[in-house]
Amino acid sequence: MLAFVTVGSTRFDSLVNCVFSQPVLSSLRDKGYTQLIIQCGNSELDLRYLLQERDVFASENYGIHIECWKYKPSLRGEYERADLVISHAGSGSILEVLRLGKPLIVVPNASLLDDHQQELATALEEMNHLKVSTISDLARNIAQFKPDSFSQFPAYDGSRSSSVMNFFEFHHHLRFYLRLMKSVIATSVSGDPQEYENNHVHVVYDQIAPHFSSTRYRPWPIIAKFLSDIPSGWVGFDSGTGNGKYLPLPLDSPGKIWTIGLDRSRNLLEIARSAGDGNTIREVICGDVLNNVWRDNVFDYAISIATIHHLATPTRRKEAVQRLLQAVSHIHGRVLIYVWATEQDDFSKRRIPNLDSSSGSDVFVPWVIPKVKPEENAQVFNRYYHMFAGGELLMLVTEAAQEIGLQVGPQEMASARNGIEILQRGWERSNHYVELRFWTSQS
Amino acid sequence: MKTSTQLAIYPILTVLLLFIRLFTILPSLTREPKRPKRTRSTAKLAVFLGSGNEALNLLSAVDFDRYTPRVYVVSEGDTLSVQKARDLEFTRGQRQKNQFTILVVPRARRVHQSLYTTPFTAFLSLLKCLYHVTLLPVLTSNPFADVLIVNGPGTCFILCLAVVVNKLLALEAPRVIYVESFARVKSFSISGKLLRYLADRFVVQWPSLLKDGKRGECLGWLV
Repeated sequence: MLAFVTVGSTRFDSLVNCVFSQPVLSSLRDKGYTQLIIQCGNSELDLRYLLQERDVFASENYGIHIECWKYKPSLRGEYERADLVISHAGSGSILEVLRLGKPLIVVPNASLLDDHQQELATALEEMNHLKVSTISDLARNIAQFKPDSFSQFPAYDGSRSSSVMNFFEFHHHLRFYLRLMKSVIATSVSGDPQEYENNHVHVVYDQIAPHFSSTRYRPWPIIAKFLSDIPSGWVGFDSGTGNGKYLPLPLDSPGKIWTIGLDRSRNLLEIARSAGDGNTIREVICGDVLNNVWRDNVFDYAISIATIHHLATPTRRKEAVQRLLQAVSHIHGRVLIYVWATEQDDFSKRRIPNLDSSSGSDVFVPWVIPKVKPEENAQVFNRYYHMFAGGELLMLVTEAAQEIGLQVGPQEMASARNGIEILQRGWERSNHYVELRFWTSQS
Repeated sequence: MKTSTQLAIYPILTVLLLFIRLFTILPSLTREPKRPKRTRSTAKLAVFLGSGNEALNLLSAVDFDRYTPRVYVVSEGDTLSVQKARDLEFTRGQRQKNQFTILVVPRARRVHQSLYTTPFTAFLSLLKCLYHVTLLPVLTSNPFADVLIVNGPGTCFILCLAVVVNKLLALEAPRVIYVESFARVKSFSISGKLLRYLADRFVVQWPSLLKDGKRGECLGWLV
């Protein structure tokens, strides 16, 4: 059997001299050790005259073959061969030996500047991974040593080490993306608006669909309230449904109402089809909010959330509202419209350039897909938005309604046959919204 | 009389301003770091290699494609660490040849060196660190690193001092991640005490170190 003694890269005179002493050699021999290898470093030992650099000193004492040398680049071979390792308390040696599963006696060097090495050895002894000994007790500890009584030392866990870097990753990569996503670039619409929307809205949404969907999951409170107040059995539609996040609402009473999703992006509709728990297939229709997709008066309610602001001209935005109004019942229909506002709250932290906000502003909002593999580059897509100024949405709805012969105002003031009443309008989380209700003067 | 008061006021003002500046850059007091200024998909990583394998162990979980190039900072005379760094690059950095540099800085304090002579050796060490961390990046506009991992040996504090100088001068400075050595169970190393509030992230491996409730986080054994 082989016992290996190591003192590390410096010196540990007392340990080396102790190991050469009769009591230690005797207890080693009594335990059946026939071979002893000592890595003595720069220790001053009584036999130093025998040792030149790289020399190996060998002798036979008390029936034990002793080999002593200063250094080797790696002690791994000795650790592997040894049946017992007696080491200084250096953390590197301790770790290497314990990882190899070798029985270990640690002798801390009391002559160092501070005795923190002792702390590590003691802590690991308390966890039953090794035995700590003083110089004077070494012989006794070898005699009483039970190599099988130690607990298994845990293997290296790389995930912890990588978590050290997470912090930096966060700042270096994610913050960059967040910052970019929160920025807004002023732009102006040119050329054919339909083509402009194709390039800067529809293509983009089809490209970013899966990633977009993974970030849009929480319904806004006012929308959730609107949908939960809709009477049972009503059928409505969501104009520009996106990933269909509003289709399963209200969540507390599924199936109470039936919302059908309309969107231009096939990729988003694929996701919208299984919106909610995934067990229900949602009805979705691929179409443009400007087309006459629906029969007039066919729905009980309609919502259009964050859709109309993607249309590039005031006329097209007005038409979109008109399609919305035409498709719902002119007797009892209810409509909720949300668009993005020029007034941004602190919560969204979007950085808005100085925009002329009297008639809204045309902007690009970058959508960044972070890279998945190191060799990829992050992809940036610029989405077109019309940011609505305060009052602009109400004006738009009013004009849209009046053009198709609807009176805007409360039912008590009715002078036309049909009209809409604005139930509430306001600004929530960087968005303007308008909720309206149809009325009819015929009873 | 009047002149001497006037003369005295300048150094006092300078020291005061320096302190105010120091407090505005302390990572433990400033929550929102302004970095990064540049946008790249890779980050330059610097690691201080101590006598043990701990810093290199930390690297074993780091994506070399992403953290490239790498800078290994070693103490003067630490040929073993230089060899280890070369070995690591040889086995893991195959895809990009020679995407690493090894910087040698003088030791702030040799083992068994007297505490009285330490300031002088430490100053020499600081000059070399300032040259690499502060001066050379300014002259060549090639930043020292984006992130610097240090784990304990005395000289690494000197290196971090140079980083602090960068921050004081509002130059580009790496984010410093300090990982206290596995060997530190109940008491901090001197570097640990000194860097606890200077490092951007302060990590320990034994929870007993954080019993005082001050700055730091324990991630368990990282070795």
